[in-house]
Amino acid sequence: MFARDPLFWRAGAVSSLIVTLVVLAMLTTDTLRVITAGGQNVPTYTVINHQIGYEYVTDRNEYMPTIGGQEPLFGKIYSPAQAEALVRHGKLVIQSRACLDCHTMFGTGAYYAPDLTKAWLDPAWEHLWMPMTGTHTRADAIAAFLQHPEQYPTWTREMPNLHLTLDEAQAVVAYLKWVSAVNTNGFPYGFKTAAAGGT
Amino acid sequence: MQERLSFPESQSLALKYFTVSVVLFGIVVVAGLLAAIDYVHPQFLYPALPFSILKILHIDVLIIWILMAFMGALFWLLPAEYGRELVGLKLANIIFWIFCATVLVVAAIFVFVQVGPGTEKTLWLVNQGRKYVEEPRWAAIIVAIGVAVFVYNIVGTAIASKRVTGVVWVVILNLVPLFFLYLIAFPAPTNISVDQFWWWWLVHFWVEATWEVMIGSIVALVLMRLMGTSRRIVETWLYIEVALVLATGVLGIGHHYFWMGAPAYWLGIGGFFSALEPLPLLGMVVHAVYDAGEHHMKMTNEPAFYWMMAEAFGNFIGAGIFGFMITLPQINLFAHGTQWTASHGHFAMWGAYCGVISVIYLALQDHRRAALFAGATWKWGFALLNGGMIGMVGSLMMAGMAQAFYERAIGGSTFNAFVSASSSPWFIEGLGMRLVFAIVFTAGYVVLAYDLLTIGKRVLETSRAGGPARAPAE
Amino acid sequence: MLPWQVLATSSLLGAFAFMGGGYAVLFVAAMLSERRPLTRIAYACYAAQCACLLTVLWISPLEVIWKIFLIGSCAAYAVIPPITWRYLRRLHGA
Ligand code: HEC
Ligand code: HEM
Ligand code: HEM
Ligand SMILES: [Fe+2]
Repeated sequence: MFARDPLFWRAGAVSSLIVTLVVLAMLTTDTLRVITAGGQNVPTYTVINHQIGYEYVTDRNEYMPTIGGQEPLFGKIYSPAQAEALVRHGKLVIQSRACLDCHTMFGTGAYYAPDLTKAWLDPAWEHLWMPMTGTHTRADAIAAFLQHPEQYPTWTREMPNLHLTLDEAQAVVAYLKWVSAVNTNGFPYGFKTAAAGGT
Repeated sequence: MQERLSFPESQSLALKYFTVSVVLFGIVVVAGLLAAIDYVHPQFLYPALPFSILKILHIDVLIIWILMAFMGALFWLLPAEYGRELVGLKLANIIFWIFCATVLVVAAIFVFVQVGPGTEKTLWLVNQGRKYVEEPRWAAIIVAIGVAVFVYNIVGTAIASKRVTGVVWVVILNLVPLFFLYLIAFPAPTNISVDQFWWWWLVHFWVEATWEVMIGSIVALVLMRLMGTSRRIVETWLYIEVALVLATGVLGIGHHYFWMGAPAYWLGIGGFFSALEPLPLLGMVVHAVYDAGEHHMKMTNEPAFYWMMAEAFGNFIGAGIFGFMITLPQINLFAHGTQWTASHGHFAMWGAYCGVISVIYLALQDHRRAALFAGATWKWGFALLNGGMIGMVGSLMMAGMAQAFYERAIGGSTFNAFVSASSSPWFIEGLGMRLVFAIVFTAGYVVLAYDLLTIGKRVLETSRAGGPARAPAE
Repeated sequence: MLPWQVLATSSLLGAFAFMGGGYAVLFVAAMLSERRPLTRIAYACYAAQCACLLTVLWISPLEVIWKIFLIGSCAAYAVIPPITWRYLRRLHGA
């Protein structure tokens, strides 16, 4: 019987692999288009010059980022080249300090510390760290926290001082702001910004 | 006096790889244990050795441990397929020592230097900060060369022997993507969506495709030797397995593309194909039970047999069932990136790849010319390790469900929600229990290591035979 | 999904696959040892799997398409053990 013949199954293995690889290649091409900065789901880096929110969209039945009017970051509006360089620097800092071996981003990383996908929008900046750091904007609060996390502990697990310079901290803030504007199909679910009454 | 081993040069090389892999397994266990303590006592070793560094040591060494065990297994098993020694023995020996030195230096860098300023230079010299492949680029280059030398040995020997069996074809064709996927360890794209898109190719296509095929081929080779199953049967079964694993696992990668910026069609595609992934794993369990029933009586290597069975069941339960529980997008939205993920990750990685322990036992039996591998010690190791693992993943699942419930579903995943979920009694008890079972697991490791060092040498348990226990292959 | 529904659905799916595994393993073990009672336990496992499926269909807000998918896989779980068994027998030349 044919099914007892190894060659029959070898042909099966090869052809199923080819079919799935072709489909994978097609989907990959399409996905890369959608996820490049400026694609359908991922904003250009100049989004850091804008106000960002996260709102429930009833007809899609999911939460989506919103991009609003201009909102300078650290009192500056960045050109496309400057924005990209800043965000690039932020990524290098995040990798070189191994932030994602304690935190997650888009839910991938380590589970010891909170997810950073929406860290830029976290209501805790308004409620907790702006008063603690004595700063007046969210961006300044994050930059202050990142440079000296050991000075602002809030619970048993603490973030160590990773010796970020001011430049590095600001670059990370830009990175977090940009990330918070990526459309992630509704993850995290139910996240509320301070403006939306989140705690 | 007969030769001790049928292919002494290749096989003593394999033994070296096995030895180091068992040592690395020990480092994985110790680093995991220390990281687990951080969850219970955050001030432990802090800030000298923060959690991040312990996690890096744990998972990076894990990858190298399993890779080295794979290499050892193929160096051990393939010469019999080829009917000759490996072609690149000298090179493999040199790279072996370079590899070991690299692991030591990188471990020292992680412990003493840890991190660096946000520049490319840090990525080259200190830490790349990308999960599972944090090793700095210079070390990643050496790993790549090590794997390349390994591939050269497998392929080159096949060519030199002019005897390429079906299993060998599978091994070779599988090594090509395995090697190239590792190159994803190098780039550092600014765009995290693009970064994670390719990074999952490395992680998912390793553990759920190429490594699965690798362990499947190793099991096939073992079955032929351990149980004398015929080549036709083994190869047929291997092809079926490969067909099903790849047909479901390749597009199953979509279960990692739900929430990282990729288009929404991945929710359907990833959910569908990954939800089918348990079926081939179930087929393997059925086959294992069948073989066990057929050959139960003629067992001369109990630990090898039982670790093989643990592999089949562990793969189905850890990867198949625990993965299936969180793979539909509507559930993954909440389970994603929690201790629940860690629960599945541990059970699957252990379940799927604890089979390498079986090959080590087989190799040692030949090496020590023991007619029988049996006794009580291996059973203790087996029970403590598997019991410890089951306890750990059960506790993690409890903690993870609490986290999904309080942080993701109720709390909206804010910082505040994270903290309050982490303070829930279910979560705290779960991580406390994980630590207890981690100690059980560690005890199991100690017993296993002792047993591997001594089994077949202990007079009481085994009868020494004059020659090889079974006719050496061929 | 409501918070409790997430945990309930996932647990039921876990039990669903676990029972499917139990059915397959016991079925083959029963055939090998030719023990009738074991076969009955195997079918009981499959019945439990179907019960898990029905409970999911009933209490879970999974989208209809996933529910249809689960019905299909439940059917697949039913036939995998006997087919695999017969196939393995033939392959091993018995
Ligand atoms: C050793 C583990 C560890 C590392 C490494 C680490 N963090 Fe943290 N991080 C924490 C912990 C724990 C908290 C919670 C701190 C608290 O409550 O005081 C935290 C809090 C934060 C917060 C505020 C959380 C929120 O949701 O608003 C941000 C932002 C943050 N970290 C960013 C970073 C960045 C950027 C890096 C890398 C440069 C980094 N972390 C590296 C452990 C870590
Ligand atoms: C004493 C035993 C062990 C302990 C205490 C332990 C502990 C840990 C801890 C604390 C983490 C970090 C999770 C987090 O980010 O919060 C982790 C991650 C991980 N461990 Fe272990 N571990 C052990 C053994 C193992 C073994 C034997 C394997 C594989 C065979 C393994 C595979 C993994 C993997 C794959 C991850 C990454 C999972 C993820 O981030 O989702 N571990 N482990
Ligand atoms: C050998 C097989 C498998 C291994 C070794 C394995 C291992 C892992 C590991 C280590 C992770 C954590 C990845 C990370 O974030 O670092 C993971 C995630 C995941 N696995 Fe598996 N897995 C296997 C099979 C499966 C199967 C068969 C399924 C589905 C049925 C599955 C579903 C998932 C899902 C959905 C995630 C993402 C979890 C999340 O959203 O956080 N896995 N797996
Ligand atoms: Fe996966």
